[in-house]
Amino acid sequence: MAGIAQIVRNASPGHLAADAASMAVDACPNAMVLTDSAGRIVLVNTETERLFGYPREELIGNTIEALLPERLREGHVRARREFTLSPAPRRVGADQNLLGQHRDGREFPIEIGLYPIQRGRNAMVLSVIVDNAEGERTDRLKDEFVSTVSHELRTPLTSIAGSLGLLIGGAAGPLPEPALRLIRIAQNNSQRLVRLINDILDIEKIESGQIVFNFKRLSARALAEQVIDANRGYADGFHVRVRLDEAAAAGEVYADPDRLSQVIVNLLSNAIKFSPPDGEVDVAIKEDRASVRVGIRDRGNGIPKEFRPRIFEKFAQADATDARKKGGTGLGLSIVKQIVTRLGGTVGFADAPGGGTVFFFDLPAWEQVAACKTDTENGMHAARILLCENDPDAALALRESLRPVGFITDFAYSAADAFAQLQNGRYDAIVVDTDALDGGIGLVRDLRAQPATYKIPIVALSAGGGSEQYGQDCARTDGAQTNLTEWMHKPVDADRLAQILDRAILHRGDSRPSILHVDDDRDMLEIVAQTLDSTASIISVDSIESARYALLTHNFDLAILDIGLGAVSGLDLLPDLRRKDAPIPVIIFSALAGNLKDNPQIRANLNKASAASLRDLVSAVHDRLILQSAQVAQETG
Amino acid sequence: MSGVRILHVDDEPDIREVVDLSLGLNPEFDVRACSSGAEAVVTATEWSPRLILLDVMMPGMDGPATLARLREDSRTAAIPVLFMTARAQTREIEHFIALGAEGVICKPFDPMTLAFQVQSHLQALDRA
Repeated sequence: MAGIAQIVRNASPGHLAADAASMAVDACPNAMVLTDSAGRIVLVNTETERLFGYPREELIGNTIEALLPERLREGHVRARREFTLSPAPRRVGADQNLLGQHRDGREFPIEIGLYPIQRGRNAMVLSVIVDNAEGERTDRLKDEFVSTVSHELRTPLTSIAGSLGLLIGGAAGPLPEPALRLIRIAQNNSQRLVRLINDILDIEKIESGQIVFNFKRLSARALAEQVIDANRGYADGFHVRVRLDEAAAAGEVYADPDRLSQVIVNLLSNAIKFSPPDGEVDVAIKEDRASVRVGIRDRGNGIPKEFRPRIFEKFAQADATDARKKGGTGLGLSIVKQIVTRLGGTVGFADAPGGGTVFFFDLPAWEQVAACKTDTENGMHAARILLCENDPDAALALRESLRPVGFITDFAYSAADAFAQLQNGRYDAIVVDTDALDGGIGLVRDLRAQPATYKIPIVALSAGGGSEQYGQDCARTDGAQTNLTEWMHKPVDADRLAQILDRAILHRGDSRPSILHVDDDRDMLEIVAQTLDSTASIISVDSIESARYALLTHNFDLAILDIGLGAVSGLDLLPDLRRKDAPIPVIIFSALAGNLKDNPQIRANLNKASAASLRDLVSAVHDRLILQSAQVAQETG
Repeated sequence: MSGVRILHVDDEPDIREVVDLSLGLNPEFDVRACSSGAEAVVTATEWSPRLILLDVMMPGMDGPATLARLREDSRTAAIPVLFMTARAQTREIEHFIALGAEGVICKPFDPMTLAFQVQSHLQALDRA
């Protein structure tokens, strides 16, 4: 009260408004931080002091990054600069695992609302920070509750459905007709309950990202044919005929076959349920270069206008009594929408000409997805990353996050794809989503066994949630043959990934094995450098002196020596190659190679092979590097 | 009785009863039930069943832990195991197979065809 009395005494109307505004900011239940154009804190409220544990005098004048964990600060500075270039109100943090840090070091999830404020020539930013820890805890509790309840419901249902099934099947002897009728009612309802629980679990798993989508290139038509065949009995029960349009396109898409089947089953069973007896359901598939559309048309009564906006919501049913009669759970269309969205598509419906409704979904055509594999951006100094990830949306999101910080990202959607991409291009680092990709951590092991990739930085991504055991199994193999640069949990913090990649690439320089080639024939130097370019980084020198200098300034994994170097012998370099901390294996590449078996200098060196032709050389280099990569794996194990 | 020995393991007595009745539809099956993984390990060692139906979620030693124990002992290492579990994802099924299970039967199962499903698995094993 004293404060207010003081305000009233001092007040001109302008002062009064300013003081009231200042009190309102201070009383706000969310943390509020005002920063200047350089990111320095100008003003904080009481909730900021409470949330982050700093008195305001310590914060004022400091940059806002002081409120973030150290590893996120650099990324935040970049994000702040971007914001200054295009200032507009926005919310950040909800899906990005944004963390704040308390003065005591404790980290906690936050969401920030950013509001640009222009005062004359001063561009300021107001950040409203919300502590998200409570929301995350509630979400986790809800997930655990749903999963526990579903399991606890399913266990008694297994006994109930099982017992009823045995009674109806006559396992306990014949039953009088009225009893049989009652038991059928009980069985139908127990099966409905099972479907409901399965649907609830599905929704919950999709929403929480626990379902791993196994993307594959597939034909929507072939899948639709299978689904139609499998549901013919169901359609017969309703006296409905299902027809696949003869002109249906193959519809090549990139999707999870199980989940896409689930989408078609749900749409098809809806169409069947809501068709009149002796009705017909038509399935059509159309495609163009960009997308594939699957449409399922019924000849039912259509969808009431008032229900249309809610049709994809959970437990939405136009006529609950009617839907119950038909055995629906009210979750089918919601599941369809969730899955199609995860597959990168959209879902919709329309009145069909001549009556009934057509439900359809559009998915990106395979060609479109495949075209995204190569990043078309071309930064002069950008590092090129191969991202092995089978979910195109996740891959695109990561590409977008890594692009502003100087990374060009190509995709590999499968292990085979990864090896093909590696054949065609040179990468500074590889990121592997071990949950999503076929082969998982096995792909990392396979990469480590290849000469061209045994030294390259590899970052593995893993959910560590959903299939926890799988994550643990993978983690156990970490180190032994994988020699991972880092193991990161999903969802991926793109800033942290960028830092890890930056550090790894800087540290490694050229990640390919390094070879010293000594030959006085410049043409030969050129040919060998070109031939081995995809496998190794080659330093070509034409004299013993240059070779010695190179040995002082570089670390080599292998040396290729010509013997006749003008007046001197390449073999004179052998002691230099052995003198280094670790002896460098040598391949003698010379027209004289075949005559060298009896040379005492060569016999004295263990790590040697010889080659007389270019083909021999390539295979000797390959063998030698494979041997080395195996040794490295053993040493790190 | 010298039928095909099937050992069923589940901590829920009602499910044990239903499975017993369901498998009983095949007169060639000689069925025994256990209520825990630990009991199953002992029974499997002494009784040498032809196949084990193993619940996944059980208190104490769960299905995968029981399977690991069975695989450690040479007397039980070769006994085929089918997991019984509430609807599992493809990935989880792959994981169970990777652990050494022959297959997965989803719960709730169809009681009238359970014996047939088990018989089919046995025939497939004989052919392999």
